[in-house]
Amino acid sequence: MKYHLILILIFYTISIKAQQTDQSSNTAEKLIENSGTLNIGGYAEVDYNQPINGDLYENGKLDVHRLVLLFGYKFNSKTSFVTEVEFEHVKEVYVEQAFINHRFNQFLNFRAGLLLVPMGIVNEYHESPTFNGVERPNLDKYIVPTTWREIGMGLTGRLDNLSLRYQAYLLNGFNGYDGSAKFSGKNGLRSGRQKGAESFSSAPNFSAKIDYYGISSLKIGLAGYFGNSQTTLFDGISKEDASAISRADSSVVGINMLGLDARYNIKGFQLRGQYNFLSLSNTDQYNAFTGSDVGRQMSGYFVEIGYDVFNKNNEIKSQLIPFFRYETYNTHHSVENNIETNNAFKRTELTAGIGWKLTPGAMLKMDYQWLKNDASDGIGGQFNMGVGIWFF
Amino acid sequence: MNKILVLWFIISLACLPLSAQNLTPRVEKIVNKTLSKIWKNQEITKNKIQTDKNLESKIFFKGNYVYKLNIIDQEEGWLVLRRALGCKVGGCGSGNYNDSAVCTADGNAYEVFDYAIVFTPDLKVKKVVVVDYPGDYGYEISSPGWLNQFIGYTGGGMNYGSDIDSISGATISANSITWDIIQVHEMMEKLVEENGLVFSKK
Repeated sequence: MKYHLILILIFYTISIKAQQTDQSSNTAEKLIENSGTLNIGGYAEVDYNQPINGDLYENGKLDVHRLVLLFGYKFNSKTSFVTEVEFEHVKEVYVEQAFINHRFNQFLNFRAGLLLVPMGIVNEYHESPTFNGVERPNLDKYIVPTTWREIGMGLTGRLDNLSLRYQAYLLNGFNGYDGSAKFSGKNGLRSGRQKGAESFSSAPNFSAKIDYYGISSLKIGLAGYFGNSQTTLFDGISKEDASAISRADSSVVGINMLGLDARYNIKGFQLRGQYNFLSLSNTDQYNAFTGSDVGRQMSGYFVEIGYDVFNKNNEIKSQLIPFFRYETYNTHHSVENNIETNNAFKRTELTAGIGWKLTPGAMLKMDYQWLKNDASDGIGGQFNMGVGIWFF
Repeated sequence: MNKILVLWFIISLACLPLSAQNLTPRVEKIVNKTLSKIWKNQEITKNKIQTDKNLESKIFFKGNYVYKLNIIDQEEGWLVLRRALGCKVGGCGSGNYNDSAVCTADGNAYEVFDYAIVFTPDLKVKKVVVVDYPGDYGYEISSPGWLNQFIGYTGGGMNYGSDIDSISGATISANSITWDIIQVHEMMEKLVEENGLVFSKK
């Protein structure tokens, strides 16, 4: 009996110790060691776009706009890898992100690989249920060329006592010239994205963003992007060949982009806005050399308000969000003297619609867009319906 | 019989100092700063209390810590250090904690974060502060302004999105801490009421 009691007491004591030892791996300073964890997720947008024209019949478009598979692999508590593999329009395959992240501490992470450029809201938060409307804001197409990503490396981190997060990267830049001009007045820099696909480099670019999240449900971001476009004309020329260097210089534009964005949620209201300004240098020579019509400055902004009408009803778990978005952007905000300002590139759009978020990761969307440019008096229209999903 | 108890006592003593857990220096600094903002110019002592009063609280508080807060001889409140699930490596968005299904996950797919919650003696939330958020997604919940929404919570239902304003880009972690504070409050009520952990009258 005595021995049984001894055994029971020793066992009990050891079990307490075991439990407390287990606690020691749970101290607040440590992250759970869940090495070797693979997370698989994805997001998709299936869209129906129907242009509305008073005088003409127009075909609608039905498209699996994008289907993206996300993989996050955690090697250990410090090191992880994130990638997104995208199918666009069913038949085009891209890699949207592929980077390794190493965390030294919360103030400092090192990141390298194919990285999203931190500019605006949608370039980083582009999963369909995270934004209202079937289509992303066009500001995030023509001024910020979403999904904008290049290969590079840099640092990220947070100062929680100041509620600040920073990102700073050295990245490869846009392909500005590879035998023909990639930049244009209409599409801005969009066609110059290299996307990490056998991209070439003649000069690194710098991208940085600071986010402030100290005020309840408000997030404000300030971003900058600075550098030069890339050109194939430097490749293989002698460093003493002044005329070849001068010619190559003519195929390069200097790029300075600023972005300010804000998101605010309160009592069921969802407010967001974004402003971008892009200043390019050397566009006179670039346009003269390539025959393009790139503007010297581009700018634009959007503001959006949405409201979850089920917000007050705790019995209903889904969200029904009517929204309204106004955006205006101009890829010819100003031009050099050797080209004419094209008023068609000053575009204004109103989008009104409704989204039914069945769960946070699944959303049905419907909206109508009024589209106008300053070169004509007419107002175009487009009706959109779509399905947006995101699971992770 | 006495010898057996003495032996057990010695073994226990030998084991306990090795496993005694306390606040790490960095977390303690954050917690002390938080407490000194609540009770200005007062020396506060933290007395750890046993949470394995019954099986339920033992399981619930495993790896977490509950302290009684004293100023001189007077008891002023409770401090709970707690770990909750954050976002996943690569994103933060589609989890729905209202169903509480995600919260039962073992944590492996998720990042975790640690937070401290200060209660008044009658279990009203006095302050919530995130003491460590290692993940790269959903960190916006550490915003003091957002966490202040929990101040005054006295238990019962609380809905993310209506009672607590949502945060863009932090759906999982924001849902998680909302759900978790409800659970912590429930368990603290049980711990205090069922186990006689009453405050002495001032």
